[in-house]
Parts: sequence; C-alpha cells; structure tokens
Amino acid sequence: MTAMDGLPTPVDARHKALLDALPDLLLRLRADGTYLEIGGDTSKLANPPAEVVGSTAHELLPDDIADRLMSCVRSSLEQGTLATVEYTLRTHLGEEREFEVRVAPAGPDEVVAVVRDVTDLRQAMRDLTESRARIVAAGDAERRRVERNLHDGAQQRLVTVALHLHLVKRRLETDPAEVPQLVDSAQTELTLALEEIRELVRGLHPRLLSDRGLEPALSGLAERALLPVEIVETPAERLPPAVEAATYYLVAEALANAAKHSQASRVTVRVSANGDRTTIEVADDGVGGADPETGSGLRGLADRVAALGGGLAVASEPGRGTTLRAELPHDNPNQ
Amino acid sequence: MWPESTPLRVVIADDDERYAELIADLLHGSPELEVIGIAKDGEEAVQLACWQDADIVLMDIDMPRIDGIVATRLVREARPRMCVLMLTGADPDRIQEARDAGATGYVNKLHAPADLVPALLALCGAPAAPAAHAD
Repeated sequence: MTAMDGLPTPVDARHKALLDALPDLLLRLRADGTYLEIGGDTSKLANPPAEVVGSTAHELLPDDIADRLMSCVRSSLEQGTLATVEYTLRTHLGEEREFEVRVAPAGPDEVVAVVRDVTDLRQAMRDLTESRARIVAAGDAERRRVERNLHDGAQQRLVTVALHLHLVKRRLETDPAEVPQLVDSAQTELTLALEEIRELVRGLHPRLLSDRGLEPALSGLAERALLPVEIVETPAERLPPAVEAATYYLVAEALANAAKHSQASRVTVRVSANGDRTTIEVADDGVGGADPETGSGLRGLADRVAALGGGLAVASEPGRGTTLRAELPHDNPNQ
Repeated sequence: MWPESTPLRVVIADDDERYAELIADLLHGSPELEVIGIAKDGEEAVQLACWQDADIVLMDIDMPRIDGIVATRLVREARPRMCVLMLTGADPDRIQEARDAGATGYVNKLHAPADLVPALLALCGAPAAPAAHAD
C-alpha cells in the first residue's frame, strides 16, 4: 500500500505484492475520513491515486457518498464490527461503476475498507432477472395462445358437433330425411376439431422430434416454410432432449423471422454436434438489419439458449443477410 | 307473463355463422320463439336488434368489430327493456363483464342443446322453465 508519509510501509515485499494483486481497492481510513493508505486496484478510485492519500472522503467524493461512507466508518468503529455500504461512483478513469464497500475496524481511530466493483455482477443479476421475467411472460403468452386456440377452434367445433347431434335426435322424430346431411356436417366439424387439436399439440412439442430426432423434424419445418430452405447438416446421433427442443424452436423462429422480414430467396440450416456442444447456424440471403434488442422473437430465443447455458449471436448487417448462430452445451444442469 | 300467442322475437349474434344457423334451427322447434335475424358481429347485433325491435338478443362475447360486451351495453342503453342472453364459452371473468354491461343471463355453449330453450322460455315467463344460469 502507499503510505501517507512516503516512508517505507511496515509490510514486506511479499505482503505488498499480495495486496496489490487483489482485485479489490483497499483503503485505510482514519476516523475523520482521511485516507491513510491505498492499495489493490486503484483504477476504481474516484481521483487519481497520487491525490488520494492525505485527503479526506469529503474532499474527494460527492457529499452524499462521502456522508454514507463516513456513517459506515463510524458505525464500524463504534460497534467494533464489519459494516457495509453500497454506492455508484464515477471513477477517475471516467467510468460509472457500482461499488460494495466492507469496512472493518483496524484500531481505535482507523478502519480498513475493501471496495469491490460489483457493476458486472449486478448487471448480470439484472440481466438474469429480466431474462427470467421474459421467460415467464413467454410461458404465460403461450398458455394464453393455447387457451385461445382451443376456445376458438376445437371447443367451438365440438360445441357445434353437440348441437348437430341434438338436432339429429330431433330430426329422427320429425324429418328423418335430413339426418344424413346433419351427420355429414357433424362429421366434418369433428374432423376439423381433431385436425386443430393435432396442430395445436404439434406447436407445443413436435412429436416427430421426440420420436425420430432433429433431421426429420427440421425437414418438416423446411417443407412447411414459406421460402426455400436447405438443411445442409444435422447430427447423426440423438442429442439431449432440451438441446433438440431448443434447436428445433430456434430454427422454427429463425425461419418464421426470415419469411416475415428478410425478403430472402433462400435459407440454409446447419446443426453440428461435437460431443459436448451443439452449434446451430441459420443463414438467409435477405436484406439484413435484424436487431436482437428490439425483436421479441430473437430475444425469446436468446433467453431460451441462455437458460441452457448457451449463447446466441446475430449477424445482420443491412444488405448482407442475417445469420443466427447459437451454441448449446450438452452438460447444462438445467437440461 | 308474456302473452301466449306472441312469440318471443330473437336475434342471434355469433361470428360463427354455421353455429348461429344451427342455433336458429334449434329454436325453430319452439312455437314460443321466433328467430328474426342472425348477426355476425356486435355492431350488426345492435343494429338488427334495434331495427327489428327484438325482444331478446342471444349474444356471443368474442366477435369482430365490437365484441358482445360492448354490444350488450349499447343494446341496453338503446332499448332498456330488451333482454340480452349471453350464449358463449368464454371464461367467468368475461361473463361477469357481460353481466355488468347489462346481460340478463348466460347459457354455456356446451350446454346449449339442453339449456337454451328453457332459459329463453324462462325469460318470456313460461312457468316450468328453469332460469338462465351462470355456470
């Protein structure tokens, strides 16, 4: 650490190296707020290191932060225990960072403070919270979609079938000649109801994927796509179910996006597995310009991939097509 | 009590035209009821009910242009004595919204073959018919 009076510190070289190698900023403060020594990661200081030792917290920090830091120092000294405070501060290198400060008494009139930069950790926690919220919202939206489809589709058709049967019963007594036509109509409604239920179930989880794996399931997607799709490569072996499902939905969403927005003439799909991870690439030759930050479909895919411990990258320069590339590990505990 | 010789004039409002025709067929067997029109959305339902001076509107909830709840409110504002019976498979929250908008009762589409005619007859005062329900 750097001593206030410039004299050699009492720590030996090894001790000093140990302190300087720590990822946190270390401070020794007097009870009146004077900085006595600094060490560790001094890039986190609000002022250039040379100006710090000998100055007080109120001289160097914004008033509200200095007040909170000194309150923490007093609390630590009065109670003889560890005290903590958190604040956001612009460092002397110009970065706005979030800090968690742990203050411990180091004598009757001074404390040692460990200042940890928690910006990245907090951001990761915020990202995780937002991602979880989006996943929950996507689940809710999916349930609403299923409910709506059942209500408007199959349920309405079955209600109509019930009505047909009621009328058949009545016609048998009053006008039997009309019965065959009513039965035909009921049969048509029933067939349509079954088709709608089958379509709905396929949207929830494609049976072809569970039964026969990615190659036939992706080929089915390609056949139903609204633009030409070439499945260039798929793994020969079966993959973990969560990886197969994520791969399927990623390709499905990418194809839907391409059909809606890309103006592409063709799309290629490559899925390769190397034992411990799967790489998925969906590329189109369209107009590009897709923005993962604004497209809910792409963000939903990124959340799904992240939930499996993977990553999603989107390259979509205007005029140069769009390529989605995702990597999914096979050993994620969430699978 | 509704005069025995005067059939109840019914408008059916449902965007599923095939279903609406079947309901009309269902009601056709009851001399106490006369279907005077079928509307395929809420706006048509309001216009038809008011122009034809219906006694009762059989109203679905989820319909294009304006839904059955808004249509119910408009019908009741224009013709306070006109009855609106909801005929729908919608969830209970929506049913309550319809009641708040002035709906007289509710018949679940799933039970329409058995319950609809008795519910309508109850509205016109036939003594033995059960009341429209809200299950």
